[in-house]
Amino acid sequence: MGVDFTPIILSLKVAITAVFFVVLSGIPLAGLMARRDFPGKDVLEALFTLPLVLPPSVVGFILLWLFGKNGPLGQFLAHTFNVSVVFHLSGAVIAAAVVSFPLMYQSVKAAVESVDRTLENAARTLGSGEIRVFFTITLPLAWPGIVSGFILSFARSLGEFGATLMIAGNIPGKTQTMPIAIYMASESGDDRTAVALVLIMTIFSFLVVFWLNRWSKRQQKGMIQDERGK
Amino acid sequence: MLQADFRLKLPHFELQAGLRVAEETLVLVGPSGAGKTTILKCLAGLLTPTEGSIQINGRTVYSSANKINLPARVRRVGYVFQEYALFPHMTVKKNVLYGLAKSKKKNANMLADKMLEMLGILHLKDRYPGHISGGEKQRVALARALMTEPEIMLLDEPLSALDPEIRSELQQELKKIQRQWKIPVVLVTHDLKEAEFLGDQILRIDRGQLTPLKKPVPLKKPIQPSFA
Repeated sequence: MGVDFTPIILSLKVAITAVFFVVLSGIPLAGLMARRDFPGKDVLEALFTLPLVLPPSVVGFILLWLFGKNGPLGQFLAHTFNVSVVFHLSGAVIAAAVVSFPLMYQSVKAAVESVDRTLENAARTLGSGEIRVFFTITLPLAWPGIVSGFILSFARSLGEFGATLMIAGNIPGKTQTMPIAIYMASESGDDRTAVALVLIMTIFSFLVVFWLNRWSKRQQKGMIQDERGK
Repeated sequence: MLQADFRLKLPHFELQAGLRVAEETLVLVGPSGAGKTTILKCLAGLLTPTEGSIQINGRTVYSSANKINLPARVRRVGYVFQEYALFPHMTVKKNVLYGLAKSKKKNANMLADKMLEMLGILHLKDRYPGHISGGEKQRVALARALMTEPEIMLLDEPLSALDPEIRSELQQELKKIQRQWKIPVVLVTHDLKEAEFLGDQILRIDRGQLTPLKKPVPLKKPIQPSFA
């Protein structure tokens, strides 16, 4: 019996989509929180970090409640788009995005906070609006933090197990991602499949982290390198 | 012409500024923590005074009475920061071109080269700020600010981090640029000699209060003490 590789494809799909949304929401929110003060900021701050400290089963339970048949978001999705994310791959994406968001958020926020504000002020006196300041000064200088946030949230998405199992379930070929497939294979004594998936997951994760680390180092070097191209 | 009358409440004292600067150099001199940089930030639009008004060439950029407070990006103020604030991830040339108006982007290369040449730093254009000397950084910061064709120039301790030799060289350069550009310049320093050399007007600032210092007669050769 050959090893079924569908869980790998599903896991990659889930992780890539989740990280896409995490990047899209995490970077602007982290930038905003690092640079602006407003009432209620502390509450929001705690809320953004919460999924990091909550047990995955608690996150799964909350998501199930929110997106379930009678949940507020579940009803909204059912009525407006006629879709349900429960027992569906999109549920796995939501679970992965929610648990990996704090990693992106924290690391980008720390990176933005470390950018010298005088540089942003200099850009303003040179005629830049806030958006251009963010994209030409803050973001490039916070780059290492963004890359590390990306690595961490991708790895976390790829490895998400508990919340995913609760909201997306374990439907082979549909919602069975790699961590779940490994658990199931190991439970049912199918060591061959378990070992194969474990090896693939470990090697792949190692390569991603290794490559992204090297790449970010090269980017940093490029920034301060003298007379690029020589 | 720069006209500014404003006050700003700070934690330990109140800053009161009244400035009139024609096409000349006004030097603010005083100890650190006296409010020198704060005044520059208010003029540039990086800080908002508690009340008052600021006009640049008759254009009101701030007025508490009329609720006007233009953001820094439209004030047309050239600002050279204390530690130069060059963008570390851009080459000298990219730094200098950062503030160039969109309408001039077509001639960007030519304009940048001309500016860099004028300040004697054309050979540095492909270098990154981390790899040039303090004096060179200062010239780049000047070039970058001038490139936006500002209506006034603000210089925050532009020479304090430099060796004495480069310092006097750049003092001459600043004077030359001011004459050439014919715009109001406000320069901050804690060095009285520098103030005397560069300032057409000198204001002393202490704990937020400004007092005019008459421009002293230029120093003649110091009298040698005799030990006879």
